[in-house]
Amino acid sequence: MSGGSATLAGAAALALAVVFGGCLSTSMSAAELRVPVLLGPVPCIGCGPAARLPAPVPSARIAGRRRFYDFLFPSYLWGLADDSQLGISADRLLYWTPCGDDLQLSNLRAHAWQLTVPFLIYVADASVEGDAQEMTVPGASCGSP
Amino acid sequence: MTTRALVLLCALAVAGCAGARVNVTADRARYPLSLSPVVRDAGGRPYDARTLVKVGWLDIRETTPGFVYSALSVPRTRDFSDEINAQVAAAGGEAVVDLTVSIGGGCGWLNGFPILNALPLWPGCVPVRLTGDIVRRRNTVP
Repeated sequence: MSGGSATLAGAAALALAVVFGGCLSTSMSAAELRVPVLLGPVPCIGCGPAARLPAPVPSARIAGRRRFYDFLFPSYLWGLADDSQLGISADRLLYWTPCGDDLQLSNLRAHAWQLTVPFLIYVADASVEGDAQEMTVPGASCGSP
Repeated sequence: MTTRALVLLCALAVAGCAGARVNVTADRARYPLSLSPVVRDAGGRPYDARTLVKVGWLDIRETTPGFVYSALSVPRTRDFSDEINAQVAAAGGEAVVDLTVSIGGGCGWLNGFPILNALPLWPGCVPVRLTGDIVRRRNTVP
């Protein structure tokens, strides 16, 4: 590959990396859990903001994270690209929460960043992280009414 | 060889990083917000898709800018309470279930802009989106 075409290929690869890194997204949900996973101060329908007793278990750190790597050097071509899901989802970590307890989320934070070393390395990262604490619900039942 | 070393040095010299981080809160929400499909009533009874009826769709987007390689975001914390309260009240709902907190890709071009993102004042951003189902109990009349 000649110097000119290599530079052109490198520039094209960088431009594509920016485009694909720009599509990077991630999310946090708990769609498979069968207990409330609460954000905010109101624990139930018809309740006001209320404090509940934390269950005697440590809080868990949960995350949804996606990261994209693109190494352009030394080939000036795609090199290696990796798109992987990191972190532990709420669905996986908290699946065995007793049905009489709730989970309270706190310290929820979202972070997105990208690192660019032109023609060498391109890294994009998006993450949503938080802490989940099991809460004891007085008089809770497990079945739907 | 010398040319290659120079190119490498130049590339490293203009290496940059941009982005933003934000704390997501709903501290003034007047309704229960659940990331799962389940929410309880005041008696502790759980309600799910069989006993809840969807009356609306929550969708809020807020983009937070950041500077100095994502170390400084303005504001540091985003409280989504007001918009949540407004959308749930407008739909006549009692709660939000299946809440999802997501980061879209809308800031990729800004965060990854080559060369310019080496400058500490070059802005980055994080686009946060909250979506969910606005619901009420099936056996209650609005």
